[in-house]
Amino acid sequence: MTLLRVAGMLGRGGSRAERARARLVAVGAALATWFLFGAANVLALHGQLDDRLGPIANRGTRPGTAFAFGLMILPIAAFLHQTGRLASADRERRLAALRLTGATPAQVRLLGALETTRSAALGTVCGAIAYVLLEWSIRGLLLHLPTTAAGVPPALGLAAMALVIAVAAVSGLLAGRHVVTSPLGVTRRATRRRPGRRVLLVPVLGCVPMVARFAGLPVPYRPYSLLLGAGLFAVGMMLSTSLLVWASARVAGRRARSAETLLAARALETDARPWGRTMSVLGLAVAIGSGTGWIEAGIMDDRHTLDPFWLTSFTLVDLALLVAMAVTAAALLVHQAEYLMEHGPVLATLRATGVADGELRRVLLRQGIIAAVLPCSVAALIGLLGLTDTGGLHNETWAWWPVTNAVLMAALGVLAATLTTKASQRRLQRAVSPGRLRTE
Amino acid sequence: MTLLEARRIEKTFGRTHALRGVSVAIESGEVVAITGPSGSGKSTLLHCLSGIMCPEAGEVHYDGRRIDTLDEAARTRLRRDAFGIVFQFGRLVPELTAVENVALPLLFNGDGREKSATVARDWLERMDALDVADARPGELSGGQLQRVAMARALVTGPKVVFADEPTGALDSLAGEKVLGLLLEAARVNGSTVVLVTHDNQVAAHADREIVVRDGAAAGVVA
Repeated sequence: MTLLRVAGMLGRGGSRAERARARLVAVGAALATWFLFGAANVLALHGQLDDRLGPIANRGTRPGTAFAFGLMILPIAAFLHQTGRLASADRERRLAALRLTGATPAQVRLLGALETTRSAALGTVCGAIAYVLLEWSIRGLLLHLPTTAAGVPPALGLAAMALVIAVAAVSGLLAGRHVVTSPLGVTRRATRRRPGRRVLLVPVLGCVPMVARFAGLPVPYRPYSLLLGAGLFAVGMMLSTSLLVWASARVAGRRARSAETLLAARALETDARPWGRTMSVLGLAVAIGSGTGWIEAGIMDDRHTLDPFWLTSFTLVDLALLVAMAVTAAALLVHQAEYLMEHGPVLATLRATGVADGELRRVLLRQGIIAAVLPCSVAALIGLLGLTDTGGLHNETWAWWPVTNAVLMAALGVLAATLTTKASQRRLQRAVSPGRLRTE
Repeated sequence: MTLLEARRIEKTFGRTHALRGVSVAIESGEVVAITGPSGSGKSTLLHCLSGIMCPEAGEVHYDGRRIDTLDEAARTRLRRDAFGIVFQFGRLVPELTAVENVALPLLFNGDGREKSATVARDWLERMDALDVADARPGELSGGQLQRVAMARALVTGPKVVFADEPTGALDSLAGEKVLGLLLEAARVNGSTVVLVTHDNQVAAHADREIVVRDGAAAGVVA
């Protein structure tokens, strides 16, 4: 209770950036609640509905649609995790000051987590209320469905809210694990470790059942072992993204011929994890988008024309992928803001010593390109090769559809990452103002 | 010959008058110390003289050319080509090694990476910091950081070196060594040095001392 009270007092005295963090965490939590409520809502529907509702209309496609809604929580979790780290320098300084007053390291870490959890709880409640109100109006006014028809089952709704708050609490606790606060009030970030190589074992393990199947060897417990392998592979690739970003930055740093590339690559190499976290989700969206190309090609090859059901389904899938990319790009934007806040005095010094604004902008742009190209290309290739099935197509020209889709998805992924740097330009201007030369 | 001159410059931050009609003239090859108590406006004067900031009134001239009316891009080019700037805490890029930090201005000028690294190593040697060439700023002491920062400021052969409290974060022994290296390198280079300090011992190394008090030049000590 005392800790809660202290957290409340600290919240009132936060800086502008810290207030922005609280708002963004609340927005992320509200979005996550919306998607989980959406999943619960779809599962609660009964009977056959209008075909124009796409995958929601059929009873058979509803669990898949609910799963897709659930998957949308991944980019939002990345967003929440990233926003929880915004203005961490301010927070660390403040929490370190608490050590002077006698707070233990565990209490300090808990206070950090409480701040995130409180904002997430607020966002979750607001999101839930907004969802229920909007859902009632859409059902009654637009779709002319009876308002007594199944909405979000209360138990599932409460579970979804608890899940979002728990994820935020864990993220808040994790955010504090690299911070060392001493009783002298001095904070220092423990050395940022290079992403470990052992994580590569996970996707390799995941490949084993699939390789065995292609080699004609016996695969026990099919299809569960294949599903487990695919799951391990996907999770492993997501976990390995930081390593991919780090490797890409290392190569770019070694081969850099310009100051901009050198600065961008070294910044990424030193702190590859935030980019890796968000790029892993962006990569997942690219891989799924790339993989759906085969499914779409197969359906179009089979039916020659598209009925409203499939048209709506394809549109919804593409829309979901775009939303996932946008949310992930927003997480990258938050990371860029944090980078600019942390590096403000150094960048202002570079500008004072004669580095032009355009050159600093190029540093940000190249960070995005170096971080995104390799993970997005690998993800598109995995999505494309993972579902390769040209034998199943009557007309093989449809095979160009998934290839084009994969190239487009990879390009969209890179574009999303680079657009965030464009959006950071105004913040860069503020970060390098001469006023920053005075602060330390 | 007057290389750098401020004529009745004024600068305000909100309601605070940082500079109230300051005029200074600095000769080529001179070592000038700008001194004064905290908040007197000495750093603001240095920022205006170096083109980092523009005064709201008055004029700043460098080498016979008015610089306060130049646009940001032109002032940036001027700072890169003609000025070298050192700040109190070094302010090196934390992700780069010392040699990469020193080579950075050359790389921005379009020089090749190997050539830049060779010149950077040469300057680190002159600043007695070659032993830390491959270390990152987080691994360096305050004195080492400042020596690397000075190598970065001098690597392009600037006409004027501006130093804002270059020894402010160092103990007197390390400060003395750092200042000695800076002044010696500037002398060999033929650079003019403008240094801001509140330390009388540091100011004693200068040819001339300009005292700033409450945003105005209170006197000149030769």
